[in-house]
Amino acid sequence: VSALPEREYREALAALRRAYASELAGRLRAVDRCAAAVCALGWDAERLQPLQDLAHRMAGSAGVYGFAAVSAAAAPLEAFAERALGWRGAPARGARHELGRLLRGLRRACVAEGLSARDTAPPPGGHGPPRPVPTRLRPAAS
Amino acid sequence: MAPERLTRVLLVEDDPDIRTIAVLAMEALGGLTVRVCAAPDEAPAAAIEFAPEMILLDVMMPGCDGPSLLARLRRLPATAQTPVVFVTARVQPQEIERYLRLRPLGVIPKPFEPTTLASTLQQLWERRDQPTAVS
Repeated sequence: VSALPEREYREALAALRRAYASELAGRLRAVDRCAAAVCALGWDAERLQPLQDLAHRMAGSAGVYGFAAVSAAAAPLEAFAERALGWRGAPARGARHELGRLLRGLRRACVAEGLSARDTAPPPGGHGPPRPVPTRLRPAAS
Repeated sequence: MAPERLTRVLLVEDDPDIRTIAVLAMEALGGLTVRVCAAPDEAPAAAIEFAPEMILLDVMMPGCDGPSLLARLRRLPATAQTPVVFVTARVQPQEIERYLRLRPLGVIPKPFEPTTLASTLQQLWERRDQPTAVS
């Protein structure tokens, strides 16, 4: 019934997996950008929906491509973004910390799947989403 | 009369990565003829034109989820009886219960193993007169 000899199928599958692996760092950076936008610009649907969509796709596709650890780490990030959509712009207490923890977990999973530390380095400015400027360092309101 | 073996599948899946690997697995390994819809809105027309024996339906898609699409397909004479298999990462008991109320042929959890996808679909096809199966 098979249209291709199994060996050729295995080779095609391995090629697809290599291609997916080569794009993993880019996907992680995209998730980072979305998370940073949420923290910097607001916990609203405009920012959270792309984060949920990316995490959803990563959770589904990474597992199918054989990157189970990445899939398992992306799934709770997707669930978190979905919950956050229900907050209607007002993040729950500890939300930023939780988001940072989930992003670090995703990074660790990517490293476990073979990505280099350079490929999984957090964005400039720190690990995970930017932290708020402490009140005492903010310029005084005019 | 439906054939003994499954030969024609319509895949409705918005994620291009999953489409690629699922089509490879179903066509190259399973010998199936597969038509793909990237957007749920394309599915009714594609199903009428392609006349699949089975529809493989992603549950979470932007704009229209799998259960809503199944309800639409059930209202069309051409697809009212076509067996549908859901593919989903949402497999909590209450979610599975919701899917089963819609009487799909089966539910395949995501992530699935591509190498066994075609054989799983064949097994579901062979037991299509029996109640829904969760793989």
